[in-house]
Amino acid sequence: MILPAIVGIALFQYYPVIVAAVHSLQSFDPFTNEAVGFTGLDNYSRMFTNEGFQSALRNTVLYVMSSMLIEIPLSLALAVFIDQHLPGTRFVRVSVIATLAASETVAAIVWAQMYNPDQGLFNGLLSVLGVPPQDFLNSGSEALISVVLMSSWKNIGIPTLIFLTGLQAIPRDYYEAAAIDGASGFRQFRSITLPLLRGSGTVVVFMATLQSARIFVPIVLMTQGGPDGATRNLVFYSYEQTFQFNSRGVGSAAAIFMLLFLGVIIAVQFKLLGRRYDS
Amino acid sequence: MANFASGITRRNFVRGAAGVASLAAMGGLAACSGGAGTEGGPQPVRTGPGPGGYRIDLGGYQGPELTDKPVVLRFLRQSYSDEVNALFASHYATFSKAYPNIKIEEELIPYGNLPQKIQIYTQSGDAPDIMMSRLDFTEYMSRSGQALNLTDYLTQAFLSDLFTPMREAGSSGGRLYLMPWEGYLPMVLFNREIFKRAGVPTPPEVDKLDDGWTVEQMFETMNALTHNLRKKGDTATWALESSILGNGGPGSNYTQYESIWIRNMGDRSAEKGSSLHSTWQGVSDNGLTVSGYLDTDEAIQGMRNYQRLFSEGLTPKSAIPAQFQGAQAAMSMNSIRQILNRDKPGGASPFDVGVTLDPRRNMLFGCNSGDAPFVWAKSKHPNEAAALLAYLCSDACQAPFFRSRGAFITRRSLVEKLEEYQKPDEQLALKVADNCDGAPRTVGWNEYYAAINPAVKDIALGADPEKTLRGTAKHIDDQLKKYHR
Repeated sequence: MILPAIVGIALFQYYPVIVAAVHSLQSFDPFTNEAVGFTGLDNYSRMFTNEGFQSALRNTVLYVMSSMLIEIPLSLALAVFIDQHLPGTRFVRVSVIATLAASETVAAIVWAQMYNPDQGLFNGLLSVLGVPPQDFLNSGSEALISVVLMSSWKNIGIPTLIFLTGLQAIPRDYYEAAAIDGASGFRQFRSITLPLLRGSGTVVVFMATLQSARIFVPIVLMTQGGPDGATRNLVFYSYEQTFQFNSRGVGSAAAIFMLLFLGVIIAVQFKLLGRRYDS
Repeated sequence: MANFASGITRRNFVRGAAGVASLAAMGGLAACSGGAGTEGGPQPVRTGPGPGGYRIDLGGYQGPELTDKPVVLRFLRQSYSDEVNALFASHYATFSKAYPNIKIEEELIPYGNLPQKIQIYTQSGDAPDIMMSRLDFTEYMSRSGQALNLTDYLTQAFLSDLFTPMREAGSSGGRLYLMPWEGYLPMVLFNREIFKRAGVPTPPEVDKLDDGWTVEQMFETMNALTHNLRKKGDTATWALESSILGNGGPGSNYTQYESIWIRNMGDRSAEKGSSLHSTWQGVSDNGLTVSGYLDTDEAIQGMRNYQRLFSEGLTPKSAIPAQFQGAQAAMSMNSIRQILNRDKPGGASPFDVGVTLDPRRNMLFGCNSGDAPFVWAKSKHPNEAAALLAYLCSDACQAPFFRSRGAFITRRSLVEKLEEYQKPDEQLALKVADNCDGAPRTVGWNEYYAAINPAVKDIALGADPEKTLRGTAKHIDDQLKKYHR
């Protein structure tokens, strides 16, 4: 019964990883793109000494941290709001699901237009508030966070639904008992909701980590890794090396490094959050 | 058979001589080339009946008669306007009517994505039979064995008819790999009405290449325009249109646009090896070193000039489509295509348009590297693909393409037939065509292009030109090391 799934996973998940791992140890003929021999760790050595890689690694960490800082509290707030069945919750619920339905490519193009420093919507709104126009995607200090905001908008739906599912699984009796004991709404949230959402939170953290570390389409369409490498992450670095600079060995090394890097982060998270969840 | 039975005609003699010459050239090149495409030696193409001998006029095609077996030809190209796309469809219909067994499928993508798409396709081992590239990629496409040698598929008359600089740009080792499809001739268009409104004299309108304006004069004009327009409360009109090449905005197409600002600081007539000559050349003779060419003092000054466009608020920092056509920019640095199109619906002529040359510094520079399709060397149907390409380059297809798109035709005989080219601006453009240069000739143009475009964009957005150019030159050198083997 599960054989097709195993074959599918082996073919489309494990096999490419094995191929990339082998490629990362090889050099390639730039004309034929065929492997011409093993070079040991040369590709890794070239990668680690490359400034572009170093900034990509730094940016990947920034993407993960800033995405989590935005997505987790926001998705939790949205889930709590939707769970209240107040006026407007239906609109918010539909809006959140709509972001899931939207094409990432289309969303990136639309956001890029809204970020346009000369004709974009955001600078139009800022000018109404008397704020000087911003460069957004053209600014070394604003570009990364601009991409993160777009990506968080696109990705916020699933964490919200996960939190919402977690909220709806909490028995109402707990809140009624707490209310009888005189607990305020905030106290109920802190002492009942948050602890019982730890499982959902762990899943959301894992997902947000993986999603934010793999942001690619918005970078390609909105910034191409610029300005001055400010939005280049490890995925984009790997893509650049492989397809733009015709350096398959270094591109594969970057992909393998990213796999290991994410594995370590997830393992640490699992150790910290998973243990608490189990307890 | 009738052709061969009729004795030695002039055409047969020329064809035979060309065949012998190309075989000799191939033999010689195969002996000294390590390129993958020549591994094992290319098989000579069997000559077919030649022009007039096929079911339809296939232009300059002289290869074997096409197969009767079912064939699907795939063509990867950029999407043109609906009108031009429809034109392609009608050409395919005509072709398939003559050869009902041959079906043509197109994949249309944004222009700026073509280089990467081709790279991905060819690496995947399953690429379309014909792909639209650009003349600047000739060295890589030929030496990597990705592009089919078209020389033997085409008559000598057809090859000779191509404008020489474009034929040379599409050739490597004397063999044509990329078919010059449409020429790119950079010019400056200006909107007289905006100049009048701003009270600024229009750029010099000349008929000789030596009489054009300088970079400094262009900046004076743009600054005066901007100052006067803002003074009159016009905050929406720009002096210079945002680049509409590639995917638009700064750094979208170094080959055709931003390189003007660097390479016009050089001088092709300067002593070889001098900084001026290196700046013009853009890369070493063997195409493998960029430091000392892209980052000379002149090149850095060229990028400082370019940066002024943005720091002085003369052009937008991001892509804004059709500013010039929408009368939101006084000038456009673009190709002759805009001139050829100006009288068409949606063209630049709702207002009074003038034409002048790109600004000169140490020389007048323009890169003529235009679109150029090639047949994938690993295509299962090379004869049919070469025949289709030749058909699309025939007069019957190119003349309507010219009229529909306004493209600069790459064959002299057809240009001479078209009365549109007799107008003064078009005559000036023809002079520009003779003056233009190709992109820096390197097998690593993929890497050069991929590295310089974002660097140019960074400079536009405020990065230090010297640091950026030096870093980029070093980066490109590192990338080109793999071709030293």
